[in-house]
Amino acid sequence: MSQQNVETVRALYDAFNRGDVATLEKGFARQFQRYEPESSLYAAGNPYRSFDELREGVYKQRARDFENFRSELEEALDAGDYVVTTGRNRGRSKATGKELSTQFCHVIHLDPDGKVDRFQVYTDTLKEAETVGRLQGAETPQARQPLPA
Amino acid sequence: MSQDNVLAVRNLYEAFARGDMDRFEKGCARDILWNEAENSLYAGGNPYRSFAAVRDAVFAPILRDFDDFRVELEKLLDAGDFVIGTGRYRGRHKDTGSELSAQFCHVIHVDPDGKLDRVQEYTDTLGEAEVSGRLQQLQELKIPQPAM
Repeated sequence: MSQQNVETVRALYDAFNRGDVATLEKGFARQFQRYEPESSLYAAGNPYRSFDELREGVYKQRARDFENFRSELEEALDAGDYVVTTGRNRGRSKATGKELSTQFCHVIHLDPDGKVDRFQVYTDTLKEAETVGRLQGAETPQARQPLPA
Repeated sequence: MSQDNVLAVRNLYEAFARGDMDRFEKGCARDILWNEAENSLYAGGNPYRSFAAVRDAVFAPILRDFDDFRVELEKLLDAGDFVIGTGRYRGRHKDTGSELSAQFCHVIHVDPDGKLDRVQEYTDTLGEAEVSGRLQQLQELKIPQPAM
C-alpha cells in the first residue's frame, strides 16, 4: 500500500514539473491542509485547504516570481501513510535574474484513497527571499544595543 | 526492525534534551555524515563528519547563542532505514532577546547497527536569521536601496 503512495507522489512531482496541473489536482483530496514554511514567500495563505487556494496562493504567485520553476526530487521515502520527499527547488527569479537553488523537504500524508490530504513544506526560506530580492521587506530583528563609547 | 530505529532516534532527542552528549555520541556511527540546512546558522562546517565536529560546531554554538534552547519534537516517522523527525526549535537569542520558534525537519538514516550515519536538517532559515540578528548583518552587506 505505502509503496503505492510513493509511486503516486513521484507521479505528482512529474506532473508538477511538466506543468500538468490537471493531473496534479487529481492527486489531492478535495479538502486538504497544505502549509508553506512559516517564513516563505507564499505562507500568507497558510493553511491552503483546496487546490484552488493552492493554485492561486502558491503556484500562480510563484510563476510570477520565477521562470522555469521546478522541484527536482532526490528521495521519496516510504513512511506508511506518509511519504517524505527531499530535493531542490530551481528556477530563475524574474526580479533579480538570480538562479534559485534551495533544498526542500516535503512531509506528505495520503488518505486511504491515495490522495494527498496533508502537505508540510520545509525549505531554505532565507535563500528564497534573497534570490527574489525581498530581504529588505522581511521583518528586521530588534535594534542592537549601541557599542559603548 | 525499523520501529527499533524510531526508538533509537527518540532516545537521541531525549539525550540531547538532557544534555547527555556521551549518550548522543554512542548513538552516532563513527563515519556519520551530518548536514545542517544550507544557509542555516551553523551550516558553515557542512558536511560534519564526526560527532565531535557536530558537538563543537553545532551543538556548542547553539547553546552559547540561545538561552533555554530546546528541540520540540512533533512527529517521528518510520521510513525503514530512515527516520524523519519534525518539530520546532525554541529558545531565546542571547544577543537580540528574540524568541526562536523555527520549524525543522530531520531526515535521519540509521545503519544496520542502529546508529545514525546520515543526518540532513531542514529548517526555516529566514526565521532563524531574523531571530539571531544575522539577517540584519546580511542586509548591511547589501547596497542600500533608495527610499521610494
